[in-house]
Amino acid sequence: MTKKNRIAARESKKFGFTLVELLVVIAIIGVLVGLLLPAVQSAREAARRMQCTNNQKQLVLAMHNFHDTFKKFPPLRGGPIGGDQNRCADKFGLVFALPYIEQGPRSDQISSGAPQVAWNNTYAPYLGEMSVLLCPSTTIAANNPVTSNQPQRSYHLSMGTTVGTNVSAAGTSATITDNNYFGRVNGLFGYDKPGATAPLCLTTEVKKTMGSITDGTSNTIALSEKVTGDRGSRSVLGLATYPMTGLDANAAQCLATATNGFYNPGRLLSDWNMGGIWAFGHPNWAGFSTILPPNSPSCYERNNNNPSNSVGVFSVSSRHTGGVNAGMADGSVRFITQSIDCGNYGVAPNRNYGVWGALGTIAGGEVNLLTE
Amino acid sequence: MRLRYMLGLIGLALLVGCNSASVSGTVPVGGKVTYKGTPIEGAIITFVPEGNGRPATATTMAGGAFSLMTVDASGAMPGKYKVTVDKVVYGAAGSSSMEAASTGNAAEGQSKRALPAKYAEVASTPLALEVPSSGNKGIDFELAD
Repeated sequence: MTKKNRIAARESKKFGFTLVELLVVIAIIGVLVGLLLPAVQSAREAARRMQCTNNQKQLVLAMHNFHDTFKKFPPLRGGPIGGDQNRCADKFGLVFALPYIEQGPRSDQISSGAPQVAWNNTYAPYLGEMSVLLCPSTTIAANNPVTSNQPQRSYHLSMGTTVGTNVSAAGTSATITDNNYFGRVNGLFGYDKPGATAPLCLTTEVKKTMGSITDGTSNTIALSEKVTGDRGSRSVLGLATYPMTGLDANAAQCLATATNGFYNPGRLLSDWNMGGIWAFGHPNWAGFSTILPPNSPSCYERNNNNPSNSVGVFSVSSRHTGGVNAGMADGSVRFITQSIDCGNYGVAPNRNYGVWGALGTIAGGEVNLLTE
Repeated sequence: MRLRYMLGLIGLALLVGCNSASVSGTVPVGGKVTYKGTPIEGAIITFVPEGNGRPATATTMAGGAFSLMTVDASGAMPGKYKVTVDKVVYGAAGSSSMEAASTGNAAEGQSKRALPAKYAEVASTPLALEVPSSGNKGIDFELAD
């Protein structure tokens, strides 16, 4: 090789890439794309979550409007057990707040028409989807609902850390009466007291008001979400299992009913998914407990595939990654992660519900508040 | 050489933060439950911490074997526990119609406990043990009347 050629070779090398340099560049691009791609894919879910957050805010504001009018929050479940059941009993609290979510015509028909039970599946005011009641992230299973044509709902009201204690001596045939559920619920929503009258099915007794939230409205959960549930699956999301005993003294045992998000073989499941019959105000369909962390199993004590009136632990759930949205009583909406501190889930004798329980109670006086 | 270090660091950075269990510090705990010598399947076991701590739970499988979970992490925290064992057997089917059920007075069969009630309550259970920091996979609970 001549000297001139060697110089030419060296100069051409100056402008080329070696194989290693090329591989490094490709690797770096690969890493960057790897970081970016999941963000792009979750953009749609982020949008759905935002919509879900907005719905919750609207519903809390509706309750504020209700409170401004009636000087109290609506009940979880309206009306007396027995009595004018068709008119009042079993109605979900949000049925009373319909005028404040721009559903005035429905509300007018319900309060002035012939009384209809809450599970009526042919009554027009109960039918027809209301998008404000549905989280866009939730999926609605084809085999829901069981016998009701009523639309599904995602949002449920807080019962705090109350499990209910009216368990029969035999241990399991648990029923809740108006008195014990309303009187003992330490969350914002419980059963209404007996004596409710038409047309609004609300008692004249003073119930939970803004003033009863001594923990502060920004530290207290009003509502949160549950997956509507799929009866064809054994997923813990939106479905409850039975029978159980002693849930009040030991709610943690409910965690043992499932493994990796699915109920264990042999566990009996309710026939009624939690998102069904939106006008119905019983805990399985309408309420949640701030005891087990988000996306945990739900359990009830009644020896029946129908969880109506049963004491139980009903857990929040969502299809957002890692937790649920929760609407606080002041109208703000926060994300509650699955790893929130739950204490020892209220297991006697050293009951402690942690931060999650503190958010649920309205007058618990806890200091361990959610920090962000 | 420096390039390799850099690539290694990027790789490490990608691996960090992949631990999804919400509870850490658990050790493996498991064993077997028998009642009068018969293995019990489908019983719910709760390890209730004495003092502060997190309860751990499990459902027994075929042969009475169980393996504890603390929420979504397998095992239990080391420490002293009281242990409850409860198994509820489904009674006769009740009505699932809304009319009958919503009043809460529907006639329905009683479900019953398949094991003595004293094992089901934290206050009365005679079972207690300490989970060592090395874990314990060979716990034998032999229940009697």
